[in-house]
Amino acid sequence: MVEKRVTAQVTMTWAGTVRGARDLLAPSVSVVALGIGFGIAARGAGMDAALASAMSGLVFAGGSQFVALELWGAPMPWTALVFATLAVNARHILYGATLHAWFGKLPRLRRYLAVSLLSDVNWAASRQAYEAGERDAGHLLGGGITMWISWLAGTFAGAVIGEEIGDLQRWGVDVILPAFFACSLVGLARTRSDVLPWVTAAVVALLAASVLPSNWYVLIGTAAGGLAGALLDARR
Amino acid sequence: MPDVRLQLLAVLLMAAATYATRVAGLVLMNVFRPTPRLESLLRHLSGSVLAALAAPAAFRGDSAMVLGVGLALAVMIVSRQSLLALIAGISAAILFRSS
Repeated sequence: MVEKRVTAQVTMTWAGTVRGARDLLAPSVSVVALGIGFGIAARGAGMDAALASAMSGLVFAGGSQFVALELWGAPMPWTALVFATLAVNARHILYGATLHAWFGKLPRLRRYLAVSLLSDVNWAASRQAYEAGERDAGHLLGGGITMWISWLAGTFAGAVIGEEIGDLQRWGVDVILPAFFACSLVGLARTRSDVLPWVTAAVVALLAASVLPSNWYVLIGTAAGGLAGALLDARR
Repeated sequence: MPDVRLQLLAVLLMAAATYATRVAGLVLMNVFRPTPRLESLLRHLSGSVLAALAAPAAFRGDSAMVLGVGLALAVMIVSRQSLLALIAGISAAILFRSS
């Protein structure tokens, strides 16, 4: 799929950015669709189109944004919100680490600019391009720009549609969030052994939700799942 | 709903936290190599928080919710197409509620 591109030196150029932007055009179609889903769900959570778009533009991390909708409300659960954002996006830390051999050769400012739109899809595409010889860090940023525009456009459209359709529950909007989470899990599963920590997280969260007030179940369930996974890995 | 300025502050906090996760991998690799144990904890956190949110949300809902989430999950496992799975799940919930 990715043609061979050998540029021995690590750089960050406009041409590389355009290459990355082009490589991500195909997946961007589903990003628009998912953005529409997010926009509608954001309306369901009480946000207006401007705020939903601001979130997509500034945060640009779908999973954590859907999670935020689940928590959004008065009073704002600050601790749970920040913790859940960090937890959902913890995988970025691993992605960043895998890019160190490549981006680590750039000046600091460019390095941190190049990862500013890091997400699952453009990371995967740029890793693939790197294997094929790509050394231009603009590739990741360019891919990110394509995803960013698609995500923002989808969100805005969805939020506007959400305002028009009225009774959101009748249209299954409340199903979008949990269904999206469940689908993301299937997408994340690499081996069968990934599943047990998630079952742990789900069961602990269900128990905690039935006995504890507010959003503690998120933190407790997540911590239980993460620890269970780390312990299982350590025994292997 | 909280004041719109508070909501915007929440968005900004989320943006800062997310940007931190984007640069943290590069920054940390300059300081130390992550231990395998830390790596495995980070890897499991992403999925765990989704599971911790999805399960109570699905069980709080009505039977249309359980049906919709269940169908989405099944379609996803078979097809690995998240968009298809979401459309199937949501359509099933809409149909169930309108009948």
